[in-house]
Amino acid sequence: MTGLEGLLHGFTEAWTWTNLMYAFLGVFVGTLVGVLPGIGPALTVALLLPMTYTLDASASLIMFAGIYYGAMYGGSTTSILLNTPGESGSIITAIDGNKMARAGRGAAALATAAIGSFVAGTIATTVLAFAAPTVAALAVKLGPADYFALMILAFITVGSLLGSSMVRGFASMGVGLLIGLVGVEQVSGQTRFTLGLPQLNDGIEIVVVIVGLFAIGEVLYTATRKGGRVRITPIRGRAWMTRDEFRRSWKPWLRGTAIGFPFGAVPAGGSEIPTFISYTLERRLSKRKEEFGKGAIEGVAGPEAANNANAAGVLVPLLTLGIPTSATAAVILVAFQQYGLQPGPQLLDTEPDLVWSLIASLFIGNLLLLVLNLPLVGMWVRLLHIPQPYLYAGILTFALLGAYTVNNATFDIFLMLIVGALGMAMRWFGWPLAPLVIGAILGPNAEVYLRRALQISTGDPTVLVESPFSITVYVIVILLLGVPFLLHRWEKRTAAAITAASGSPEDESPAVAQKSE
Amino acid sequence: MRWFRNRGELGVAGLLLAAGIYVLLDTPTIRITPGQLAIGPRFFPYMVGAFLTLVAAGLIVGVVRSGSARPDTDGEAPAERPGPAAVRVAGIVAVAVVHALLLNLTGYVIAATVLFWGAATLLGARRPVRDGIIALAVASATYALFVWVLQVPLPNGPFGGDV
Repeated sequence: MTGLEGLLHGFTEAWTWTNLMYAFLGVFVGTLVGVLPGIGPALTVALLLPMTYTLDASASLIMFAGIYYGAMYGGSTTSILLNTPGESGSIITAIDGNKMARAGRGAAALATAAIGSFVAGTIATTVLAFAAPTVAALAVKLGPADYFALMILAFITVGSLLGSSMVRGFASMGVGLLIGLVGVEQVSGQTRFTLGLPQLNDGIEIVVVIVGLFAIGEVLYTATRKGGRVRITPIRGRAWMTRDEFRRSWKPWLRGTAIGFPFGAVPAGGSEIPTFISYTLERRLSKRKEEFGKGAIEGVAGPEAANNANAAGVLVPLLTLGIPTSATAAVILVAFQQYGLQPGPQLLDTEPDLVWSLIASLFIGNLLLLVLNLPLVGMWVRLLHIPQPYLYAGILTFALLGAYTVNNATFDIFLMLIVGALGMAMRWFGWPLAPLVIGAILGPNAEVYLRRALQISTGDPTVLVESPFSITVYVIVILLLGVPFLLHRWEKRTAAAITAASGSPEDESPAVAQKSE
Repeated sequence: MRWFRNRGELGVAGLLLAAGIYVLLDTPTIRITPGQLAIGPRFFPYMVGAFLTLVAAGLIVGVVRSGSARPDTDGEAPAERPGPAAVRVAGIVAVAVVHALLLNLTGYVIAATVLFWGAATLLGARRPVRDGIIALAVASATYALFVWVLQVPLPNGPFGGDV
């Protein structure tokens, strides 16, 4: 099926009351958790994984994709009104968005974020629909050695591009790889690193890892802080903007989309980098450079479009190669696997109804999000008034419930607490969390592909660099290992420039809460 | 003393190093099936073990030389939560362990009420009675949602399912 046929087919599939309801539920819950500080989309989807035991595949996947998009929307609201980004893709939004809110232009900031997200989401989902069949057709031809190369690429980019330093990204990834080793391995069925515990024979459940890392880690980390009141910038009426603000916004929306999508689509994770690039670009192109850091609408419009386009881009490698490049995509992959479905080049042929109704429901979800966000923003803001002790006690309760329901065993609760303690330490020392998740999920796959490739070649390692595809990928890997240095330098310089421009450094840097993106 | 306070990350890096060494030492005990064509089940663990050891070493060097990357953002915020941080964290872990032990003893609703109430109190909730009522409400609603709507079984305990 081509993109257009598939989309039309998908719309007829998605256009049932049940699927519409799940799309609505998804974006609703997604916005809700995106708004709440401390809960990101990866965690929400992971917490809701027990639903896969009773719901059918298309309903729950439509809902999970809705949560993903919804959380991207909701995150911008927290950034703008609280100056505490709800997820990592919204960190940049907080800089100018919160300044606009304090200057009484919060409604315009929220509107440009919401409409920008809609524009970006719609364009990017269209590109996804047309790119997916093409990428899948190419991916069918890839051998195990090529897949191994792609996974090395994903490891390197996710490990090196996220977090405060490269070595901490790789440390996080190493822990994930170790977690992935535990249990009976898939090729020759040997038990590894179970410490003699029979409960570990099936490996450490990825749900336990993700929920423990994000939820328990966040709760314990919060407990280490002294606490204190957050300042919510009040906003009156609906979110809207003037004609002039609209004129200043539409170009950044389109440029943000163009930057965000490719960064998601290549197996190279992270929604922070495209938002950061978009911000820098808008600042450079603007005639009012001095406004940046003080409430420039372009500084909200561009990055918000970029992070939503990025979310759609991430679905390309997930659906066509089975490679997740963000923590949320990794959890959605787990949801697929709960139904015995393996995302990859064959998925479009074996499950066309599912894939196309999923993509079509993203369009529907995007429209629903615009409707939910523009007039109802006041309702979401009220959620921010839930007292912190209740919010985090609730997260803890749900997280432990999630651990218990995996195998109906208390063993997983203890395991989750250990992972949670690790998550707390990682937050404390500024280690990125996503590399651990990617390492734990992709590690076992990478081993299988490596061993398959070497079995075919009867042990000859040159098979790994035989195809032009794998050679290209390794060249990119080598180049990428140099890029982070440049990006970090660039980031520091821009941050310094922004601080200098606005004058009040303490006020300027938004508290970078580390969230699942 | 101050040198060490800025380098608490060494503890985590040390654990990472220990994990790497453990992987390297334990890998030779993995059984190999005869007739293995290429690399067996030991190769990848060796790679992971070596990777962990190297990264841990790099991290230790980095922390010793320039300290942790940890930004201290707590500032002079007014203390709203009881006791020192370590006590709060240990308290929450203890409450979670009690929750796990209570699950099969008293059933989900009571175990979750204890968990929610304990965690909320440790995180700074100040009105025990109101907090208890909210805890019971959250636990009951969760039970209802999972058992009756999603049909995921949860332990009932001695009182049956209707608390």
